[in-house]
Amino acid sequence: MVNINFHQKNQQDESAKKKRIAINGSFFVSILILVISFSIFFGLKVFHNNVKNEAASIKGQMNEELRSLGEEKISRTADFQKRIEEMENGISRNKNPKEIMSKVESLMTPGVVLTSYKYDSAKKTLALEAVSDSFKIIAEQILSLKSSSYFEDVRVPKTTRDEEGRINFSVESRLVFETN
Amino acid sequence: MRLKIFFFPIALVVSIVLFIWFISPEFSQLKGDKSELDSQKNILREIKVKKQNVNNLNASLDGNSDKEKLVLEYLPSVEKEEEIINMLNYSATSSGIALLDFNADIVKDSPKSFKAAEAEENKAPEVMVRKTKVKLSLAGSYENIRSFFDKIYKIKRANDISMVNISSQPESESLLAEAEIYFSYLPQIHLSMENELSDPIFSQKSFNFTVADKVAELTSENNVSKLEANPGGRSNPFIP
Repeated sequence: MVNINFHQKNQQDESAKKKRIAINGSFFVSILILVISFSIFFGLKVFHNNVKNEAASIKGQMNEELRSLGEEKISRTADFQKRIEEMENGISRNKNPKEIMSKVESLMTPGVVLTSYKYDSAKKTLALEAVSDSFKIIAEQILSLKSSSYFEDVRVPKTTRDEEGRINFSVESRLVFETN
Repeated sequence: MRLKIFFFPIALVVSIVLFIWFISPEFSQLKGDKSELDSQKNILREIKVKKQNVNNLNASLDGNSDKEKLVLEYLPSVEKEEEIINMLNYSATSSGIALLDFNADIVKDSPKSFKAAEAEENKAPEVMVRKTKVKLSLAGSYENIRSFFDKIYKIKRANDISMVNISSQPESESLLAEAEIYFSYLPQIHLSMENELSDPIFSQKSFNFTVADKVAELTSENNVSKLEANPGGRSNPFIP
């Protein structure tokens, strides 16, 4: 009796079928991978081109907006603003010399005569030279200046008596005032 | 059939190559371009807002032309030395003092406050205030000298009386005064489109005219007569 191995034949067919399915499957997966890869690549290319076009269009719009505005208008605006800023700085920094002179007038002691008045706005200093007949009057004058909140660091660097017997003295001080 | 076996690894290799050499660089370039596009969109939006502001600011200047004129007169774009002389002469004659000596020097502005302000705002080198330094000596009574300085302080021209030196003369009631005054001017500002409206003013919707009102109030009393050219003409300029 001849033995026929049907079972083995079936197994081989089954294995060949499985192999075919696997190969076909991998083929489709490969196609899919390629399709996806190329789709991503071309998609990116198209999107990138759109971005570039949009950027160019926005650049054009920017130039158009600026052109339509005109340099004259921009310059006029910036020029006026700069001027008012500088004026504000100047006005708040400067002091009317008349105000300082009036302050000194109001603090003068009878018997003291000014011979020199030196005001320096940058250093905010005031140097006075004066003459009087009495040391007591000079002391009162210095006290008068020191008692004012307008003057600070009041000093008397020099006191001399002249040929006529009058006393010459100088006073240096720093001015304290609020800027406008 | 055998070809089909090799197809998968080939497809894989092609895909990897595509990703490494083409997709990845394209993507990173796209990312950069996209962020630049977004920033350009923002700039465009800003430009539109600033354009509106500039139009509003210009309209505001048109509506306040008297204030604009006053500001340009108070801080002119050119030195106008002749106006300085005219103003000094007016202030001296109307105060009753004698103007003895006068000389003018042009100095670029140097006060620290201006430079510090610019440094703070991180501005590029730009148009700066220039000053004409005038040294003068005059003679007159104390009251008249005081009035002279008051008038100078109130003239329609930005100035800074930086030094006043008054001294009495032996055997004379008249006092001698020396002064140093800085008259300011600001050269015209010309902005180009490259500036892209970077100045902070373009973010504002209106001007603050307070300083113009202050100047109008300050200079209201002082009316220096307008200077006009007088070309009389003479055949021999060396003969009076």
